[in-house]
Amino acid sequence: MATKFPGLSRRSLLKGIGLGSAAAVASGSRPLGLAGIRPVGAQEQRLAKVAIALGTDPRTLMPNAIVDWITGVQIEHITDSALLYDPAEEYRIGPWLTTLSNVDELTWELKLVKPDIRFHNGRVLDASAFKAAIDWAKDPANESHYLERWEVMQEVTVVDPQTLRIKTAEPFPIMDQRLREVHPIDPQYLQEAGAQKMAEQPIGTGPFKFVEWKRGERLVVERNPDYWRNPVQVDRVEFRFIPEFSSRLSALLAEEIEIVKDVPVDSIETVNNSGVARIEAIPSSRINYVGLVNNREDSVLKDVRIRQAINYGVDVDAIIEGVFQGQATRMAGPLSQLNPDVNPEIKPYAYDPEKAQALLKEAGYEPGQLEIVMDAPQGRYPMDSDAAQAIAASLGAIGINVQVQYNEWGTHLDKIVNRRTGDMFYLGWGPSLEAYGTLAFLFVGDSTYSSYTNPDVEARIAEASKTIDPEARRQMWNEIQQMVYDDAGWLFLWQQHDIYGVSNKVDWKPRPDEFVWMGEAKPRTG
Amino acid sequence: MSSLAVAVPRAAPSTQRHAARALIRDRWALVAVTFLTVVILAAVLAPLLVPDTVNNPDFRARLKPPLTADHLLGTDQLGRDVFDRMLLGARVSLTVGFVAVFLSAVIGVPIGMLAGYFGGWLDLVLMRLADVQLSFPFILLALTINAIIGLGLQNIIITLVIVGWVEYARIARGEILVTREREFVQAATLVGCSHARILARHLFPNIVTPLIVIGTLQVARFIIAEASISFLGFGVQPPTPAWGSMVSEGLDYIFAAWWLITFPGLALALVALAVNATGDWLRDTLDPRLKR
Amino acid sequence: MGRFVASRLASGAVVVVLAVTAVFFMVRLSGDPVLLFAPMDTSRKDIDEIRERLGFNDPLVVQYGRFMGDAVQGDFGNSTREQRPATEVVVERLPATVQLGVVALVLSLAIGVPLGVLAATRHGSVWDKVASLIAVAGQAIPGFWLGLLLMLLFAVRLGWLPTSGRGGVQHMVMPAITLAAFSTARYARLARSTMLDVLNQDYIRTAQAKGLAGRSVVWGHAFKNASIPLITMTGLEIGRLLEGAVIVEQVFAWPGIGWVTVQALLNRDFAVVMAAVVLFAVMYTLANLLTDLAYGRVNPQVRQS
Repeated sequence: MATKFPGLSRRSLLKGIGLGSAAAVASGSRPLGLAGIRPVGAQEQRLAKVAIALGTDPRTLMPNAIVDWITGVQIEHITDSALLYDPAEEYRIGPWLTTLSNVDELTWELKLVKPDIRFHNGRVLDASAFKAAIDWAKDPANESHYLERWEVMQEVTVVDPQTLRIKTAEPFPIMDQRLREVHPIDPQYLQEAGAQKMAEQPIGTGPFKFVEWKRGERLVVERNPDYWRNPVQVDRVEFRFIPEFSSRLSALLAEEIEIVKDVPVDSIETVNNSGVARIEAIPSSRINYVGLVNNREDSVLKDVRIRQAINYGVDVDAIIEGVFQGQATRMAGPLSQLNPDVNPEIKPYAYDPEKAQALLKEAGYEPGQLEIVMDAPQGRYPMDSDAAQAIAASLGAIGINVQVQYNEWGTHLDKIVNRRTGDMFYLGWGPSLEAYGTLAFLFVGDSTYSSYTNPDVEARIAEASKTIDPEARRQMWNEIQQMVYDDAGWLFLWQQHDIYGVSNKVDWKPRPDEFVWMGEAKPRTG
Repeated sequence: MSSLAVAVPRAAPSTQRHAARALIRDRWALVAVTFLTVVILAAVLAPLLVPDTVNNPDFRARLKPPLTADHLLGTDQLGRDVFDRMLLGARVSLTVGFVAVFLSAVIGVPIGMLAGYFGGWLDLVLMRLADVQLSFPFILLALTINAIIGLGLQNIIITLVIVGWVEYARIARGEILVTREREFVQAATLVGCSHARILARHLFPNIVTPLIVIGTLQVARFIIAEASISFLGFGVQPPTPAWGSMVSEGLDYIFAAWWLITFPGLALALVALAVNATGDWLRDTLDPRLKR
Repeated sequence: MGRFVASRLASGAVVVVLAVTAVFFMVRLSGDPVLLFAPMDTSRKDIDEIRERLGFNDPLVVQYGRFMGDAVQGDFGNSTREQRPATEVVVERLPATVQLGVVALVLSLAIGVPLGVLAATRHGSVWDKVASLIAVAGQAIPGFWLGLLLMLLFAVRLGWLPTSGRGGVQHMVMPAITLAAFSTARYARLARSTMLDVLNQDYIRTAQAKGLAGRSVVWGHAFKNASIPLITMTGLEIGRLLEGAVIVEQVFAWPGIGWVTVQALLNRDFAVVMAAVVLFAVMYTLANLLTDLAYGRVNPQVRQS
């Protein structure tokens, strides 16, 4: 493997883009790649069933078709992805079915971590399965969400059964992000069965085999005894579709299901005291923030002093304590504390109502003079409606009258994209485990969901987006974070905590990347 | 007017006294009417009874159970007093119910009367419209409209009126069809009264009673509809405390704070109950013909 | 008879077309579907391309013409959310709703009507009061509230019934009761008042005077006459049951057409909403037609006029 970056050790390069089983295995306690596969124990314990309650059906079971969390969670039990976020590497993207490396600035190489991985139908996985997946998604006739996202993969070639090469026209440093999304498909099955059948009866290399999908009721998958990575300890996984939250929680307490996501903070005690289930909570890499609109001519928030005043004037810690009962993690700048690209130098704005009022005065507003409408969704993010009210109350105390306008979710998106919100709006973003996916989308003035513009910031982002050298790139991202922090681009709020209710029979831990996966779930003893 | 007294056999002079007597006799109705009066009074006086800060969050006081100091019915997840919010909520919910019914009637009744009286294309259009509306579940129609015009108290009322007026038009039309054929109307026509006069002076007074009765029953339906709509994710804007939205917000706390869904839900049910009972009583006393 | 059915079907078709037209324009005014199913990091340019591809950039009238053209051939387009025919999405949910609706209807008839009759025959007694109370209460309780309370009691606390989902008879119990509550109340009311009317008629009094047994008078003579309004109401009741099903399905995760339509509305999944509208309108028309036919059976005079 040739690298073109003088002055960089191979290892730091590998780390930067999260690849190389050597590096990963050396530093991780978690089994990874070939070397990490656990031997099958003699008296292996298994769970008969794990049922996970979700709000709705998957939109399809065809991999590489639709970007949607609920859909992804279900598909990824059946089929593995090329790469995955690696807990041993601060959740940078690391190897899964394959490793990733650069051949040169424009060429990327995927290599299978193991030669004899098989699809559920017995056929051996090789590089052509990845090519088939990418080609399928890039065919406009298939209307895949990945069509535009994978356009950058200009040329995809199978070098040998173990190796795939991908060429781009320009340097594309976040190739790992895109390849995290690639799920190989058996080209022969696709050809024989067709995409429509595959969307209903998929096969993959994953820890579970498809059994049955009763629309509106459940998706059932069963243990793949020959899983390539580790022995699977759950015989059967059921995804149950229950739209109403309180009904999902009821099902958990009645021991009908084993896992439910998004338990409200005030029900944590109920679950923990139930005797049948417990809470597993984890800070998520999904962030919530309030956009302070400065990319519109008519916004009063074009004045940086008011944006700063808002940041000084909202007692974020008190809201985390009061509304979330501590179940949220404050972020300082625009990236979560979990994000490997976060600038650790940045500290949150201190709560300082006097300073806020002074800044307002400087900007020419007496207390009570400034009226702002804040758009917020209801029930989309944890406690969103309460948090929005608390923010408004906090700002009211420093003399900014904020009127919260709640929207139905579709309307909310519509208003943000068409720039019809008030001068503030509440939004969540993620899971986000690198800088580009957040900064390049939310701090470039005319991008879809952006509320912020600043020519210097945009120039810097453009530059960083083309830089492959990890160290130089990190420098730039750090700088950009500092810039938008100083410029008070948002009201910086918090990372959500993902709060799961988990049956006491099941040993399973959530992850910050929202990857809910039973491939490593175990019976819980004691 | 004198012709009217003859023309309206049902409008016996003793109606009011009769109603009052019936009310006293029917203890059930008495309770309902009294309760409703108290709730309406509370709703009217709510701004005087409730502190201005009722919607301000107070995290130190969050989720206090009922009967704790200062909080008769406890507090919600933002530490707001449930009883105070319910008082304000009475105002909101009753406004939703009564205003929506009133406006539906104001729009629907004239159209229905005209359709019933003149027949022809107006009648045809109206009846098809009514069919169209009935063919799509009310709640789904309300959701669709709410998605277009956005959340909020006003918008909920607009939504309910849009889906509600047709019902009045239908009823008014039906009543007119029956009444039109009666002798006094025929007589008025022969005497040469204008259509407008016949409609306003002769027909309208005769259909007022059934409309009031049905309107009363409809108030309950609308109050509950507001609850259902906010259960499905639409509804009034927080922190506006409509009972229905209080219940649906409380669902998240169903295991942690039972009082959040219990009291507003109870209030909702009791008011709907009282309104229905009042409607029944009105019907029985004002219009025995309408027993259904 | 044949002509009657034909003309009813024709006016039913008009209703369907009108309903489809109205809802078509309404859902399209409600917002942009692309934002709801495209990932949030999709660029403006790509969003616009998707919109173009799906034809959402065309003028509404053009979209309407295209839709109607396809719809008359039975093609409502693909669900933008699930990328498969909308008709499929809706029709596969039909059996669940019909099952729930029929059980609830039978339940409310079986409870509501005897309750009403009982109240009428013992007018003024405790039975009458109880029946009235049930009747009024059934109409005063929001469906989702009742549903969740039942769930907490019978599924979580007592563990007698499954909390939600579709499966065996035990899954049916709570959703059916919740859905039936409203209708039961209405049937009880109506049965009571029509029975009261009928029982006061002369011929009943005559029958009673002739010494016919109470039961035979009530069920043989009076009820037969009182049943006509009940049948009429059933036509409307089917519409109301569909309405209730929207809520009940949501609470109990019952995979029916109400749930799927609410989701489609929230997701701006136009094709699915349209397919659902057509289905609702057709069901409504058929239900009313059947009502009228049944009506004619009970009372032959109606059929002739």
